[in-house]
Parts: sequence; C-alpha cells; structure tokens
Amino acid sequence: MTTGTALFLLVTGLTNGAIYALLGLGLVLIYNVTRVINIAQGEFVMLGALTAVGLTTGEATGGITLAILAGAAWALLALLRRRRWSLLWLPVVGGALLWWGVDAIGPFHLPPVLGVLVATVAVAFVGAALYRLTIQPAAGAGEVVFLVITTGLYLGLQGLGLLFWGPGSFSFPSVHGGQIAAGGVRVSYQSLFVLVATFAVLALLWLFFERTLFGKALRAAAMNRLGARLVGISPERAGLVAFAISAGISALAGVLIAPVTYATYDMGLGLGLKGFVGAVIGGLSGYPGAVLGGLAIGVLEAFAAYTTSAYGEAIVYALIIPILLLRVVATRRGAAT
Amino acid sequence: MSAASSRSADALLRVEGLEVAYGGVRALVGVSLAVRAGEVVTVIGANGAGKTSLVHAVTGVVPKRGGTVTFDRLDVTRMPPEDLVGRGLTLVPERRELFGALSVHDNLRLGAFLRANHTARVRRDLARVYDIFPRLAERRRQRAGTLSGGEQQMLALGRAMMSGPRLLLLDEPSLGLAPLIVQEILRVIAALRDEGVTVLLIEQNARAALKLADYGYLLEAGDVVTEAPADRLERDERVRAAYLGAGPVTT
Amino acid sequence: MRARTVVVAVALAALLVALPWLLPPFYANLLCFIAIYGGVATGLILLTGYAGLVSLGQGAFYGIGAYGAVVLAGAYGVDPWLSLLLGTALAAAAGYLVGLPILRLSGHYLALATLAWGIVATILFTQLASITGGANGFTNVPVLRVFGIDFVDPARFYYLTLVFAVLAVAALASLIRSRAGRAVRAMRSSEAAAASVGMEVGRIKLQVFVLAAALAGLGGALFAYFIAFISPSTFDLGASIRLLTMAMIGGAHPLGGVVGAAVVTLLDDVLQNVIPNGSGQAGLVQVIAYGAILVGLMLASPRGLEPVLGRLWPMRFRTAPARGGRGPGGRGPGVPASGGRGPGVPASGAPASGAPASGTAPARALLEVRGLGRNFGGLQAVDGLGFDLRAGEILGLIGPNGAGKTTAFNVISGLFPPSEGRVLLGGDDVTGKQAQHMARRGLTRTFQNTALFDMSVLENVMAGCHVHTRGGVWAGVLGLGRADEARAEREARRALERVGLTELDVRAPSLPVGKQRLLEVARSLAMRPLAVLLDEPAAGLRYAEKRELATLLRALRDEGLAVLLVEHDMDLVMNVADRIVVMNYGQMLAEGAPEQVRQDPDVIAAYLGLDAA
Repeated sequence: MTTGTALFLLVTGLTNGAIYALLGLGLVLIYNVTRVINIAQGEFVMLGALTAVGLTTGEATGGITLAILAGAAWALLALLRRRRWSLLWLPVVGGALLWWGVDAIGPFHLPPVLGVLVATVAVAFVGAALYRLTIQPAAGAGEVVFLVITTGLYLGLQGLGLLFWGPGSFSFPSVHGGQIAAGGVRVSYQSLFVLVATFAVLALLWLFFERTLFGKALRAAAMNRLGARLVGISPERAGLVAFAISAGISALAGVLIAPVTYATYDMGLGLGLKGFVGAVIGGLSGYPGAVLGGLAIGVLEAFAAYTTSAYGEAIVYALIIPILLLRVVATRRGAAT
Repeated sequence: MSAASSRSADALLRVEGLEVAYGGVRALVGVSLAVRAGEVVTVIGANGAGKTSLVHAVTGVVPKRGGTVTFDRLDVTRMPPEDLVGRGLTLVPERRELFGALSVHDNLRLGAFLRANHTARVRRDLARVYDIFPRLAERRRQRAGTLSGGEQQMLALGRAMMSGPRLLLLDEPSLGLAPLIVQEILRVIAALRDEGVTVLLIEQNARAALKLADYGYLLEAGDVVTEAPADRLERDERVRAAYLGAGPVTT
Repeated sequence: MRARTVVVAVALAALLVALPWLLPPFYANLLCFIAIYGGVATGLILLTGYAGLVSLGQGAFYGIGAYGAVVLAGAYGVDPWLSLLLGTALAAAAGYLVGLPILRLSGHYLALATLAWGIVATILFTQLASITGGANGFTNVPVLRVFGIDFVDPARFYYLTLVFAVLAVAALASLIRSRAGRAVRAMRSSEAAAASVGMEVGRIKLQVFVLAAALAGLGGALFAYFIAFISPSTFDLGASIRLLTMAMIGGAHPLGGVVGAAVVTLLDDVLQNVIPNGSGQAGLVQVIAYGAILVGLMLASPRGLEPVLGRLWPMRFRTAPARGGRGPGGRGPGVPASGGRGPGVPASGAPASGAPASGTAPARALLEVRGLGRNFGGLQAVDGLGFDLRAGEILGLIGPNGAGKTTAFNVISGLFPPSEGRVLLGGDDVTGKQAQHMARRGLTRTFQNTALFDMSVLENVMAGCHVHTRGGVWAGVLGLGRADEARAEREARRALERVGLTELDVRAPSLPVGKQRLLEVARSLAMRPLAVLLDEPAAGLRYAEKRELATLLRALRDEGLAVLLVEHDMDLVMNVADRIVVMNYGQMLAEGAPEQVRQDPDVIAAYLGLDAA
C-alpha cells in the first residue's frame, strides 16, 4: 500500500466516518433521553437524502407526503385523546394544501440549500411524530418491546422509501464539483464539505447542550428522569425533542453523503448499524465517544474493504459483538468498585 | 375530631383516604392529612411505615390506588409531578435526585426551569440561595455528583427553592447526614417558614422534626396512628413504641 | 378427561394427515411452508417467548442448516437423509459457538449482537461462493427418497414437514413442563431468584440457544430440499425478522410458532393475490405490512395470541391428586407433619455435609462473617461487620434507614462480592461466591419484593428442589426424569404443608402478600437449606400474618434451621429473634438479646434521632 493509497483511504474513511459519527450522535441522544435503541435511525438518513433529492429535482416527493401523513396521524391522536383540536392541524392542513397545490401547477425545483432545509425540517417532524405515535404509547414497556417497535419502524420506513422512490439510486448535487490536491492525494470538495459540516453540526450541538437551558434540561432528563420531572421537565416532551433533533441530524447526514455515495431506499440499515458500532465504542452515553467511534469505524471500514474487499464489511459488523462484550465488562467493573 | 376537620377546612394541601399498593403489598391504607398555609407539618414514623410512599403518591410519582389530593382547592389527584411544580408544589426526594454531571449552578438554574421567563426574579432567587448556602456559592462550578452528602442535600433544597414553591415537601432531609449539617438544614427550613413557605416534612428523626414543626402525624404500617400539635406528640409514648416496638413480648 | 384428550388428539392427527386431500392442490405448497416455518418459529418461541432472549439472527442458523445439508448431499454425495442430520448438527454447533460469547449480553445488546451475527452470516454465505454457490445460489439439490418414494410433490413433502412441525411442538411442550422448562421460566421471571435456588442461569441460556438453533437448522435443511434452490437472500435479516414476527404473533405457547407461521404465510399469500402487479409491489407491501404489524402488536397486544392458545391447550402443570393416608391436610404452620423431616436432612436420611444432626449443639457457627466491608465508589456502605449465625437460632439484623443492612445482606447471600472481609459457611470460605454456589451449599434467601416465579404455587416450590434434582434441557425435551419430578413434587407438597399453604394451583403473583411470603419460605425449605436469609419478610403484612410468620419461623428454628432476618418491623424482630445485631452507618452498633438491645441508649439515639442541640 502506497502512502497515496493510504491517505486516500484515510480521507474516504473519515468522510464516511463523519456520517457514522452524526448517526451515532443521534442514536446516543435518543438512547440517553428515552432508553430506546433506535434500529430505524438509518432510515432518517435515507428519508433526508431522498426528500432533498425529490425537492430539488421535482420528482418523487414522497418525503413531504410522509411528513403530512404523520402530522395528520399525530393531530388525529391528539383529537381522540384529549378531545381538542391541536395546533398541529395548522401546519398539517396548510402544508398539505400548499404542497399539493404547488404540485398541481407543475413540478418545481427548489434551490439545493432550501431543499436541504425543508427536507431536514420535514424529517425532524416525522421523527417527532413517530415518537408520539409509536414510542410514547409504549412508555414503561421493557427495552425489548422498544427494540421490536423500532425494528417495525425500520421495516415500514424502508418499505415506504421503496414505495415513494423505487429501487433506483439518486444523486444530489455536490456543494462544488472538483477536487483539490493535498499531500499527494486528491480530495473532493464534497468530502471536505462533509467534514466541515459535520464539525459545524457538532459545534452547534455542543453549544445547545452546554450553553442553553433547554439543552441542559434535555441532558438532565437523560441523567435522571425523576429529578427532571421534579423540576418540571416532562419526559414525554424531552423524548419528542430528542427524536426530532436526532432525526434532523440524520437527515442532514443523508444530504451530506448523497453526493458521494448516492442515495437509495435501502441505504439506511447499514449506516445505522455502523453508527451504532461507533456509538457503543464511545459507551453509548458520551457524545465525544460516539463521534470518535464513528470516525474510527469509517477508517477501519475503508482499510478493511481495500485489503479484503467484501469481507471488510463482515469484519465491521462482526466487531459489534466484542465491542458490546467489552462495554458490558467495563460497566460491570465500574459499578463494582 | 373537630380539631382535625377544622384543620382540613382551610388547608393548602389536603390528602384524603390515600391508598397506595405495589403489586400485592399495601403501602398506604387510607391516609388523610392537612397542611395549612404557613405551617410546618411533619409526618414521622419508623422505616417502612409508608412515609416515602405517601410523598411519592401525593406528588404523582407513583400511582394511587385510591384517595384524593387537593392543593389550594384544586383537585390534583391525577396531576403528574412536572405539572405540580408549575402550580407551586415541589418535592425534595429522599435520594435527592440531582443531576450529577451538571454543575451546582446548572442544577439550581434548572430548578427554575418553568420560570425561565422571569429572569430577573430567577436571578434574585439564585442570589438568595447562594446567600443561605455559602458552601454552594463556593462550589458553584463544581459537578453536583462530587459534592459531599450534606452539600448535596443543600443543593437539593436550593434547587427546590428555585421553583418558587408555595408548599415544599421534604422527604427525610436528615438521611445519612452528620448532626451538625442536620441542624443547619433544619435552620433553613425554619427560615423558609418565616418567609411564608409552607412545609410538609417527612422524617425518621422524630425528635428533631417535632422540635421544628407546628403539627405532626405519626404513620405506622401505612396508616395514621395519631396526630397532634407537635409539642404534644413529642411526649406521646406511642412515638417511641412505633420506632422500637411495643413493650415485653406478647404472642 | 384423559379419554377426551385422546379423542381430540386422534381427530386432530387424522385432520392433519388428510389436509392435502381436503384442500385444493395449491395449498399443499402453503402447508409445507407453514409447517417448516412453524417448526423454526417454535424454536424461536422457546428462545424469545419463554427465555426472554430476543434474537434477530435466527435466519443465520436457518441458512447454516440449509446450506450444510444440500452442499454435503449435492457436492459431496452424502446420503440426503444423513445430510438432514448433519445440517442440523452444524447449525447446533454454530449455535454453541455463537451463543458462548453473546449470551453474556442481555436485553437489547443481545438483540443487536444477534442482528450483527445474522448479517455476518449472510455475507459469509455470499462470499464463500466456492462452497455455497455465492449470490447465484445453490441448485445441485438431490432428491429425498425412501423405499423408492420421491419426496418432490408438495403434497407428499408435506408429510415430512408435518413430522418436523409436530416434533418441534411436542418437544417444546414436553420441555416446558419439565424441570429444565421450569428453570427457563424461572429465569425469565427473575434471574436473581433463579440463582438463589441454585439454577445455573448461564448454562440454561446456552442450552436453549443451541436447541433453537438446531430447530432452525433442521427447518432450513428441509426447506432447501423442498425448494431445491437456495440463495443467501433467503436467509438474510428479512428472514430473521419474519421469523420474529411469527414468534411474536403466536406468543409464548408451544403452538405459537405454527399459528404465527400460518398467519404470516397466509397474509403473504393474500397480499400476493390482492396486489395485482406481481411480485414487485406485493413484496413491498409485505414489508410495510410487517413493519406495521410489529409496531401494532407491541402497542396493542405484546403477548400475541398466547392468551387464546393458552385457553385452547393450557400449559398448566398437572398436579397429581393428593394422596390420603399421610396425615390430614391443611394443618396450621408450626406443627410438623408426622414423619416430616427437618431441614438439612435429605430424604435418604443421611445428614447433609456440614450439617449437625438435629438435636446436638453445634460446636462451630454455621455462618461466620468476619470484617465484612463493601465500598461503592467512595461510599463505605458496610464497614468491619462481623457476627456468627448458629444452627437452631434466629438472628435479627436491624438498623435505621441507610445503615447498610441491605448491602450486608446482599453480600452475604452472594448477590455481589464484598470489598473486604470473609464469609464462611460450615467452615468453608465462600467469600465472593455467587448465589447459585451458596444455594448448593445450603444457604438461600428470600427477596424484599417477593421474587416469585410467574407460575403456580406448587411449581414455585418445585423450583426450589432444583438444587437436588437432575435433568437438563435434553432430558426435558425427551420427557425423561419423571421419577425425579415425582419426588420433587412430593417434597414441594410437604414444604407447602409446613407453611400452611393449600391453594397449590393458583398463580403465585396473584396471592395476597402474606401468602407470597409464606410461599417464598416454602420454596426455600424445598432446597433443604441449612440457613435461610429473610429480606424484610414483614413488609406489607398485617398483624395476623406477622404472627403466623413468627410461629413458622420459631418452628423452623426449633428443627435446627439457622435464620437471619433483616427487618424494619420491630414487632416481628423483637418477638422472634434470639439475638439481634444493630447496624448504623455501615458498622455494628450493638449486639445482644432483644430486650437488651431495645434499651440500649445508643440504639435508641440511632433510631429516634439525636436531640437537635
């Protein structure tokens, strides 16, 4: 392996790893606040990528439809449960009218930046709605029940992805075509952008959790559910926000990676699992750990794929087992002393 | 009986026929009590008598099998704890339930989570808490999990004060603390009463609680055995019996 | 009753055999699938429904069995019937090797590990193309034949699959009602309580995992011969999730696998017919439907169809009718049944090792605690605790809230090891040994929240006999060990009589709390213990129930049992204990006779509180 190849693999690995890091962050956020391990995390990536594609190319705009449907279900639930018209109906009905009205006039292309923004918001909304519809009603059930629920969500969302966008692969315009040469290797602008954007997101998240009261309240809800309730933080609302932020981050990750690896309806599971491996390396509780773990997995995967091709992927998945075992041993030892 | 009913007539907090059960175990079998505004009321009893179940049920932390809770004439029987805080009823739980990885300052600030709009008042209350607990002021940037037991109890109390409560529920604040710290905490509670905060104090340490309180209830096996003004209860032989068992062995 | 069961069984058998003739020809195909999936799902129900271990990777074992069988037969000329066996064995071996590490995980970590394993297996199936034919699949599948009859036509192959399904259901039904089945169900209710009656939880989990893998392997092998073509995508994550869906729909019941398989297979068929576009769209709708089913099931009915199936074919342990002539039943506690043997003396009459013969004063204490300490990250919960517990005495351990009694109790009973100090049982050092080990040496405990198993009263106590009976998972499947079971049942009845419980068939968690405590004591007695540690037995008891408990404890003590009691309830402790140890701030504060301790000024101060100067 030449230095050039090694550097190239490193850059590829870090680029993919940045995505895994974002996914890992989303997973850790949801796990900390709600104790749910979200098997469907990768599906938010897929939805974000494909919705953005749809909005900018004017074809296959299923993501928005999904958001409207989910919102309608949520509002309906509120109506049935509490017998009152929730404010949700406004964006749902308004969004539906706007959406289908515009669609009737003719396909339109949003500029990419706007497309990304709308897609992220829509997927974040779907995340919150899914929490309200499928996770919150099962509150108090064992962790295994939640696992099966999120497995069901994975299946359902992947199926809807196939339904809305078909089996093909889609690309999304890069931030800037072309590459720069650095240290003897060509790095695409998109890869650089991915890395920069990831760290920007990390920085924003850090600011949110460390410097705003709301962010600290979310951390508090994750640390101590009872304590949070006793200062007025509702665990349901915390879960809602956690799912929304997590889905939004994942959607953004999808948009970032789509220009590099193309978006398909089934891209979710692999990404989600690798994000999970990274998160577990970091202990499933700490955010820096999830980021470093994700980056590490990305790099490992790149090198493994180069040296052993298909087995590389098997190695990465197989790593889940020893990592989980080590984690359990480490936690036990920590608790015992 | 008339004394008891006159108490409940103008009570800030009224609990009637409260029942709590965990599976088959009946922790409370029908407890009634009343706390009037401005009072310090204490509920004493041996361990396992149901004191914590009482507080957890009143605040909605555990479900009630029966009974009602009325706060300031509003039926709050079905209200969850996060909503009760907004209404002015705050609990300082037995295990303190602090946010260990956050700083003292953040813990206190979160105590005022629901008052985020009234920043001037919140800042004033924060200054007051630091004033009352200088040790917390010294350690304001320190992680709450690294504080000593006494400091954690102070922090828990301070955090509750930050919610601007009208009624403060304290579950065994003296638990595991050295006598001097216990005295300090009790002094703070007395000061709070002087400022108009009503206090319901759950305590295993009967003597200290009865010295501080205006009125007392003795809880045993999930039921109120007797109630009286604190100074009378202090002299009641049943208190000692409740803690250390009745007299010579009778089968 | 017996006659009716026989008639039903015969009618059912006749129906099953005649099915291919009764239904239109196409259905034979479906029946084969239902039977195969049903058998595999039955294994998954044992694993997930009964043992509580969620697996998202059964597809892997399914595939190993399939590839193992047809590759050996097709590429290496092994006899097809033998290859079925070998394929199953390969799957079982894989189950052992994979289970060994991952069963140390639990809950969602375990599920994720099985998910990873499933994906790795699929990749391996694809990559080892030289053996498996890779992504293009394996087609060289020979035909199963016996005495010149070819098993190719679905209507004929159905009988093979029917045998498989029936065997699977029968195996599970037999296992669930055996000693090992009881252990599996106990483990699901409470691992801590299962350990406290001496069950080797780790070993049970592995055996169950291997059995489920074996069933999956055999099903896979049959599937391969049926379809005559297999490819890696047949055994991927989708297949694992499908199997899990079947298991969840069916619920925790031996018939659940077959019923769940029938529901899912028929649903697939309906979707194929209703969606006109052919396989593409139907497959898509299937996926969404599975997702919706899984979510809906978990929210609405997490137990699946088990309540319905349970009424159809109750899995209750049949209690043998009470035999007369052993003395009148329903005796009150404290009056030993005539000829009843005391604790520490096994049925054979020879005293258990280390136990003094009842009646003689022991020279050395049964349980010795020396300098016990336990530290939790800086907090010294127990500090330098030491005392003796002798046979034939009741020792009370008391102290104010936070004194460290529960921690000390948990250390002594083997829930976690101490940081310092030693624990000796019958002279042997058992410091740091786990609860299962303690149980086998004669030390058992009860739990503050009565960790009863979710089964009948009688079965709970029979679980107590686990430590001196034998019979693992394989014995359970084959229905062996009946003699041991009969003996266990007799002993359980005796123990229940001792404590005065008469409703043997009632589900344990539905008993009032006073009876639950007595049941826990009976379960402990069934272990023939030397010492019993009771964790706050008086919690939640009424006055009369406490009296009943006190009388029972005194009777047990008089027969030579050693009892350690952690309690808050002063009435009970003062009445029943011979000696009392008082703890405060993790250390021993006082020790002595009840009256002495009650009047000790230090003890009074510790409880009622210091005077706030």
